[in-house]
Amino acid sequence: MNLDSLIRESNPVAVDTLPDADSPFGRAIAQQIPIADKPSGIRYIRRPRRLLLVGGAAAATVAACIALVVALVVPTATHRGAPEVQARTHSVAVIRARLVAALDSAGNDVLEITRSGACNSTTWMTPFDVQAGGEFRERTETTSCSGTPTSGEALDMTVENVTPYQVLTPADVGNVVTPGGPVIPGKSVGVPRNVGEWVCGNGSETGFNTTFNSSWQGSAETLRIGVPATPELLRNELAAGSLELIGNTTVNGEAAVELSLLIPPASVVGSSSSVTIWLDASSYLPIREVQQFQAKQLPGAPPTTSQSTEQDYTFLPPTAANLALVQLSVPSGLAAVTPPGTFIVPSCSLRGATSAGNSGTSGNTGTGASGA
Amino acid sequence: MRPGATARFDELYRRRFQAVLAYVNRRESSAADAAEIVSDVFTVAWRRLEAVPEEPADLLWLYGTARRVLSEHRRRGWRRARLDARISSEAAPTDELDEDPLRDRVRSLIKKLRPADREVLRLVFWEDLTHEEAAQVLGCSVNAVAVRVHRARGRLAEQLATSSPEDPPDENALRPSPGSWRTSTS
Repeated sequence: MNLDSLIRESNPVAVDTLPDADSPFGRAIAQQIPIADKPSGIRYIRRPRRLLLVGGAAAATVAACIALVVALVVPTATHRGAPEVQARTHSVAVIRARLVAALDSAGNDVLEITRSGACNSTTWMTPFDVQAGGEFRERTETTSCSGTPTSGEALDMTVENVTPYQVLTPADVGNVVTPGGPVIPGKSVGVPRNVGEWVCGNGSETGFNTTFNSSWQGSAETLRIGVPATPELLRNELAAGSLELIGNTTVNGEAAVELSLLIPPASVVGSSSSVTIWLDASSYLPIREVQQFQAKQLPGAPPTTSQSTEQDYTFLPPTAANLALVQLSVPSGLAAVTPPGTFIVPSCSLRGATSAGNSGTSGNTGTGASGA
Repeated sequence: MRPGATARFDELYRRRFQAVLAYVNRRESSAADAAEIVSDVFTVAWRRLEAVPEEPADLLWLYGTARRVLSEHRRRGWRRARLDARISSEAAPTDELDEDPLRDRVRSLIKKLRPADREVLRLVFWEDLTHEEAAQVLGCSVNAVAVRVHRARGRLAEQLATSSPEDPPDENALRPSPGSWRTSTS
């Protein structure tokens, strides 16, 4: 093989494996382009006309100052296609800064996480911002659709280290595309993406599970678990995509700011994923998050599916009553047994791990807080 | 609104989106920034739509714009290095998926070339441009492109031969291929 061929074959991106303009990714980028009309189904964001076109330099300066003040004081937001979007960039920047600041300030809160997909699965954890060297407690409880508790777990943990873990987004299962090569159906591949954090350290756990009609308790030398929705994870999500302000809305009757995070696709696989986050309009803390994965359907490959996960967040101040939420209450009539051995992982050598999302706690997701 | 401008831009976006995305992805390891850069490239195209030439030269114009936008992003330090490392591992797994160590080495060595050499190699071999087309993108003469390509190939070949003694390249790799001096395909 000559050098020219080598250089050509070292091309890391094959154009035909990328999402096209009509893909969700292409349309999402199109929405960032400040064009007024909406041609042929591709939507573009309408941005404010240049102020200099409206008035003189003095008027522009005054208007810009007013817009900036408004952006700083009021979480301005408009919906797609609105006639004008004032100081849109400033608003996004301000909201991003406020979100990060809010996450920082909520580090000692009790975070309540409720998930869709089950009749009721709730996790409480405190402190919210897990740090290496610190301690935290977490409780997860699942109930049947009739409201009967089906399982419960609690964990006390001294954290040795915290490492983001990744999984391959499930939307890409079934598609393998080699750079410049063929589609190989039937194998699993995907976009590595941080979906949680491994917390590694020493801890003890208690729990119950009606499946076995028993409760269990014990301690382990070393545990590692997946922790959802830590501040760092949310910061990662903010950093992983272009933040777009969608607008003001309500969630469960409360005023909220809706943000969209466009997660660019892997250049080879061609899938796209998106995260929509709703922030409390006053505290700027996340109150709901929906993650969606969308695969690029490739010729000859098995049909791909989209997946959506949804979590609601409630940040509770660390009062005595709220801290009691992480205490496990084992239903009466259940006996203690040994905890599942698969929960115990003898090593904390997680630094640098990049694909630990499906390893370590096989057969048991620990506290049930397995991330996305 | 300029008559027909929206339709023309729409058509331009549909036709060239993938190429621009590929151009940016080949040079920008941060997937987050790549999306923003592609958006910025087409924003410039919209604002200067009258200056965008007709097909096929429109692609060269977009490449040139993408090159400047990339440069501007880096100059302003928009990239957040600490976060980039994470994002790159999440959303730019291209290198990891390539199991060919030789291609990995070539890619790695290209990254280490001088920026001017690196860019001209990428334009000619990855974007598959002729020397004339690359000259348009770079805003230099065709002769300058030829010289840069020659110099870049030489440096790459030299590094390839010395960077990994246990896995030397085929000796043919050090010879220019018949098409390496092409200046135009049209």
